[in-house]
Amino acid sequence: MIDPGAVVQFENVGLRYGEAGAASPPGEVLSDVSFALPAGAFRFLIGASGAGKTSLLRLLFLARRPNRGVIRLFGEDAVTLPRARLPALRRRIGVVFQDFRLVEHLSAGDNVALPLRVAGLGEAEIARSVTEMLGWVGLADRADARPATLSGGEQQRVAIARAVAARPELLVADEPTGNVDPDMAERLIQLFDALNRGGTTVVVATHDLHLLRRVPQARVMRLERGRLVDPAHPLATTAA
Amino acid sequence: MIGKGPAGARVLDGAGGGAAMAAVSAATLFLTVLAAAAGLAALNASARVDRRLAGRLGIQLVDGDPVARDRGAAAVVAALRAVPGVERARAVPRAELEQLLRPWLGRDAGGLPVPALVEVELADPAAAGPARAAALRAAPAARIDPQARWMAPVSRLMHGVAGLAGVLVAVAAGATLAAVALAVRGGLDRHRTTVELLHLLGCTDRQLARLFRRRVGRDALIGGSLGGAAAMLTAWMLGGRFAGLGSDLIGGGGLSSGDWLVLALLPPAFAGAAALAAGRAVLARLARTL
Repeated sequence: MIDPGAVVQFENVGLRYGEAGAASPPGEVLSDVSFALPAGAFRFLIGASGAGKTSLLRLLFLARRPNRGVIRLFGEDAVTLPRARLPALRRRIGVVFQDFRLVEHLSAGDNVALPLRVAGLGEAEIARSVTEMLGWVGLADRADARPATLSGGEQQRVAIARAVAARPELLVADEPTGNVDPDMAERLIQLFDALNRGGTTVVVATHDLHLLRRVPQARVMRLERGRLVDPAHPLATTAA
Repeated sequence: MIGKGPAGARVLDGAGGGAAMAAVSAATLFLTVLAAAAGLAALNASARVDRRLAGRLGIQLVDGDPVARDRGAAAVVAALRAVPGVERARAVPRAELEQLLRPWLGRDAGGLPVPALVEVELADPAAAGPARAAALRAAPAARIDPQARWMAPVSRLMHGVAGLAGVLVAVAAGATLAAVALAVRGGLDRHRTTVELLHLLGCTDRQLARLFRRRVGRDALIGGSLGGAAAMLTAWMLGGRFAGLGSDLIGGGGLSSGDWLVLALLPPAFAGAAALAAGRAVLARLARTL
């Protein structure tokens, strides 16, 4: 059933990589995944390694299409949407990759500018937004630094600044605190919290259950062996 | 915007490959421009020969009596000079004829009955018919040879050289475009993570193709301009050497300012073709991704 108020809606989604995998039905890394995210929702996606978190996120940020089921993003059927219309949908989604994916030969500022350049903004507007975003993540003085000269936490913050620079309606983050110390992890989660309070729908995949209580309005989606066993669990009852 | 402006174009920096593209372009454009210069020079030489010979007739008067022979030659010259469109008509002096025949007949050819020869230059090739008629009226036994006829094989050879140069230019163009296709394939592999990232950020195929078009076009233009300039310098130096030979045929194969302009336009034309080929190759490759 279509939920018109949902930013994201999955219905019986199944995903298979080649013929590998041990999930059920045979070969699927995601099976019968159904959930809906209303605008402004904050979800932590948790589960053991190999449970399918990254696969689910890849479906969310349109890196793949599912083998079965329905995915609606911003009201569009992302499964049957013509390939030529995917870029417009992707521009409404910000992604923080687990491995940052910063372009090594570009400065921190140019990395943050990428989605703005993709969107076709003018250089003056790009410069203003980049300065604002880098200041927001506390890296205003590192705009000219190459990623290789930044610490892991700084790289992660550049990646976050890039993900939110174009003011996406949906932010997807894959283990954004996996490579940083606990203090930095808390600061990063506070950034996501601030974004969410500004109206952005946020999905964060994480192993770090201690972070969950830092965002009181968040709910938890739990994946077990490719199946979503808890699509919107309140944090109050989640072990932390 | 990605693909427009220097900041957007920097996205594809850092993974190398540009120097190889520039080097391939330099080598192919050196050969292409040199082949084109040779072809244009051959065409010019051929055209010059055609032009000069189209307006020339050689008239022979064969007569055993030297007095009658010389009188006939004088009559032919007088008749021809009265024909409109005849620029010059002269009986070749006997000493000059002997000089011409000396390589074949030796120094003692003075006693042989050598025909009288009348050289005719026409201001207008259309005057050939009236000139021929006038010569035959003055000396019905005269043999009239359009010089273009015996130089026709040379002219055909020069056209053949020009055609071969054209084929070489086409082959070089094909080789350049094939090199571009390979370079783009390598570039897409080298930049795979960046291309995937840009896709996920919402970059369209056309934006990515524009990035590669700019990059390949720039590298091809830099390399091609260097190779083309080296070839033009070589052609200019060789042209000077050929002109110094004093040969009417070879010396006539110089390049006009229009020819130099054509040669100078080859590198940017090739760079444009390379950029277009790169864009098409990128679009074809990306069409196979999500």
